[in-house]
Amino acid sequence: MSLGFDNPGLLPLLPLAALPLLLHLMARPRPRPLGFPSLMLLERTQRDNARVKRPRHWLLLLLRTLWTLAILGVFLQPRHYSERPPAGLETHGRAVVIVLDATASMRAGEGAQSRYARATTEAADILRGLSARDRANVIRVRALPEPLYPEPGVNKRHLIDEIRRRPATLEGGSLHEAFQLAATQLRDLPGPREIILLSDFQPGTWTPGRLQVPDGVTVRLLPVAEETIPNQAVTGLRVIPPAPVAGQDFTVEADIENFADTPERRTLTLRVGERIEQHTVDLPARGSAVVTDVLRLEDPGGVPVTAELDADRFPADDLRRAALHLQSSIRAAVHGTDETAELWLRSLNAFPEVSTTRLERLDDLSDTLDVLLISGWDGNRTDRLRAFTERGGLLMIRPGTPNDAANAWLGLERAPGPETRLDPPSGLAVPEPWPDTLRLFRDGRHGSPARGLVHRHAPLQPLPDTHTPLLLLESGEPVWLRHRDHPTLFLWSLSLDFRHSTLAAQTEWIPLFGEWLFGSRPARYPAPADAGDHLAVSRAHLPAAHPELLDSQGTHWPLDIGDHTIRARDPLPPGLYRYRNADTGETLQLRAVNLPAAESDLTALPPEELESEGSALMTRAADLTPLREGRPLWPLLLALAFVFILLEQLVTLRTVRT
Amino acid sequence: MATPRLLTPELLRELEKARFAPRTRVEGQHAGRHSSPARGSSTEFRDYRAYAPGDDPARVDWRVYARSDRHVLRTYEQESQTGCVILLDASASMNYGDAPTKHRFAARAAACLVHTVHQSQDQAGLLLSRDGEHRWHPPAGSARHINHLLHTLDETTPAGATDLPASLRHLNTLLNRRCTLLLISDFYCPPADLFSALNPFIHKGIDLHLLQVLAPAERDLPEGELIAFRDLETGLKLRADPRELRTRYRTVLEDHQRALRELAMRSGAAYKVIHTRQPVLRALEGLIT
Repeated sequence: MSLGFDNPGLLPLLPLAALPLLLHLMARPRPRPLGFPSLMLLERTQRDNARVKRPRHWLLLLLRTLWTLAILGVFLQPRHYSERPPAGLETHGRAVVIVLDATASMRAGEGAQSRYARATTEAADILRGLSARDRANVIRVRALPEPLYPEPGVNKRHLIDEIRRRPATLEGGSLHEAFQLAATQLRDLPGPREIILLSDFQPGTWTPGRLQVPDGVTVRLLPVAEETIPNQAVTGLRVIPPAPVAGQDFTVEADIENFADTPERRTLTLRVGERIEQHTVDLPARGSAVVTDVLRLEDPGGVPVTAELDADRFPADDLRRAALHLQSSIRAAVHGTDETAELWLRSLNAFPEVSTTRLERLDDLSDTLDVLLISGWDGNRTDRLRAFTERGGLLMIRPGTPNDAANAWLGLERAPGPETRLDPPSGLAVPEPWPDTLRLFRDGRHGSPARGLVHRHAPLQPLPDTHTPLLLLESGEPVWLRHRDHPTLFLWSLSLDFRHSTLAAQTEWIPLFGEWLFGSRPARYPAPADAGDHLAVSRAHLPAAHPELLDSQGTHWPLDIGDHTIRARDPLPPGLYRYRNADTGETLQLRAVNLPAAESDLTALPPEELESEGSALMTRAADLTPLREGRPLWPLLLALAFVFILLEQLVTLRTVRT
Repeated sequence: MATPRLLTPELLRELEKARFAPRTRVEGQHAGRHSSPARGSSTEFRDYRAYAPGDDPARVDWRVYARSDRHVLRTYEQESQTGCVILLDASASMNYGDAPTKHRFAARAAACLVHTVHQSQDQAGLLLSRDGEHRWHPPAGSARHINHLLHTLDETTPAGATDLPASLRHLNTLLNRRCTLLLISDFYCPPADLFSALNPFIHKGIDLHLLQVLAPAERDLPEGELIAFRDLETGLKLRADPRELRTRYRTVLEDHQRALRELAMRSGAAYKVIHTRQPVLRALEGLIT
């Protein structure tokens, strides 16, 4: 806090404050000399009186000095600056970084303008209010924070032009991340430092108290959301199983959320390739619903999937996209010669969508293979198997006597011990929590996946915390594990020879095997990305000399092609994109980019929920004017002068009366 | 005989039939018309009393002292001619007030008393205390003496500072017999000091009369906004606004007078306050009839 003066030239007149003292001394009436018989009693009287009178005289002098000072102050025209030193006294200009929320929610319209339009207006006002020596920067909040200058600069005009030129994005973003960048930019700058956050402060993206305010930095929050916009959005879209086969049933699930305080009825249109399904959805207030559609497509290939709500006030999140790749069949192979391998082979043949072969040598492992089951693996060609899982191949291994390197990759302490007889035979159990792989059996309507008895067993020796168990012996020993770091790698310890276990003889075996086979394979295409993503993809997955990226309108998006990865040069807005072989025109990959679900909640938080420790709340840029330009104090001083004069008169009157 | 300046014809007319009437029996060297309670040195023994400071050591009964190790004085019954001694404070503080000044008023009262005492064929004495000096006129009854006293009273001008307790101590050495003692002053001294100095007189059984003479402005303080009060005796100055002090000053003055009155009552002395605007003979009520 400091003071400045509009008329500092009058400062030399300050000694006039002593005028009341001089007047007080000079204006004292000259006493009339008078002889008096004795001062004995008078002195005693005055001593008694002085106890009351002297403070009153001092009070009078004080009041007179104060009103003189107040009147002098009126002419000096002081201004009160709550933070900045007054002009002429500061050694450095102010450094201000405006964190401007440019995420999708800021496109929501309130009245005649969007939240972003209001935010840019306020930001421009703030920038205009800075002095020529002040430095400023604007960091736009989007998927990656976007600073307009590498560090705060003095050219505020350019910043104003830029924020007006650049629209709000359809991306999500982290206010806190942008704030940290702003704090970093201000860290070594001298003078007063300030960060102003202009945002709609969505409940899902803003966490009060999470700001780590650096010492000496003033933080202001300027919320631009004035009202809660009732909004419904498609917040999720998925295909189950994620990698279906042509001719096989698959399910499309769409999540609809209602961010309004009233129940809503909306119409959802699901498009899968050429097929269109419409659903009426009743949404509870602040609730959600899932729309499910079971479909079957006969033709293999990439298929776009969209879920679209009828339009509302915020249409950006009413459409969600996903990319589906239908395979013509699943190519599976079995390696091994024991009874277990034989039973796996027979089980695979039970599924018409699966073309099965026996793989004699692991050296012959084909890149086109989708599923591989190995029984009695001795640890050879670990490199080939590792590459197979890394490109999404589903691998089941029943270890034989692998070497140490193979054990390490499998997540085993050592090779399984020798097969021992269990007497009495052991039953099987499903661990808690119920594994997602076995979800078909969770409600019990399709039997139990843990039926059957185990007579002989070679126990697995997994390293701690490396696997998720799927089936256990009654003793708790795992018989079926899923590797946590390589989710398509499964370990199996049970011999399926009927003399050793009866699991494969149960009616639940084929459904159990099918669930694993179809449900555990990863989607051929990666999951949809959020807007602002660059759709990076490994070169191994784009086997083309000249790949190109196109959106659904056929527009080319420039690529950054590295040695190992290919990515779009610019952050991508929501849409369906195709990586294509430029030479052949073949579609290599279909990708979906969606609006981040967090951007759909357009609730305006009340100010008390926004306030964060170390930050101050503002309602508009004009609030800064008195802080920047100072608050004129002359009206206050004038009022004080009147009050002091009035008090002086009262004290004088009381003195005379007494 | 009397100087017209103090004793005007009107006063003399009023005093024509006045007689000196002390409150107690008086002690005198000469036989007179008053019964004296003084345990004097005549032939008829009356009582012993304890020695008090100021008593003539020659009157100590040494035989009693030899027997009891106590200093006691023998006293005797006697008929005496009474006396009246006036101690007049003629310090500068008495030179205050308008027509008349306190001193002029006090001198006139003293003159009236001297005249009346003489008219009653008694003796009158005077101690003038002025500027630290004491002019002593021992009690006597001759016309010449009385005339001299009246002239002295008339011509004395007040000056200097007076230490009343010191004057009383001086008078105690001069006054050996019972009489009526009239102190005329403004009594600007601590009451305790004054009555400490009066103690020997009380022990001697002297009939004490304290007459405090004040000018009206002393009671109410002069009018005006700010006054540089100058002490008439010491010359010290004090700036004060009478408007601010008046109420409190009255209280302080009343406290002072109350203290004098209470001590006088305890000592059996008469205490009276008289203002210079009052009739002068009112000052002598209780002393003359």
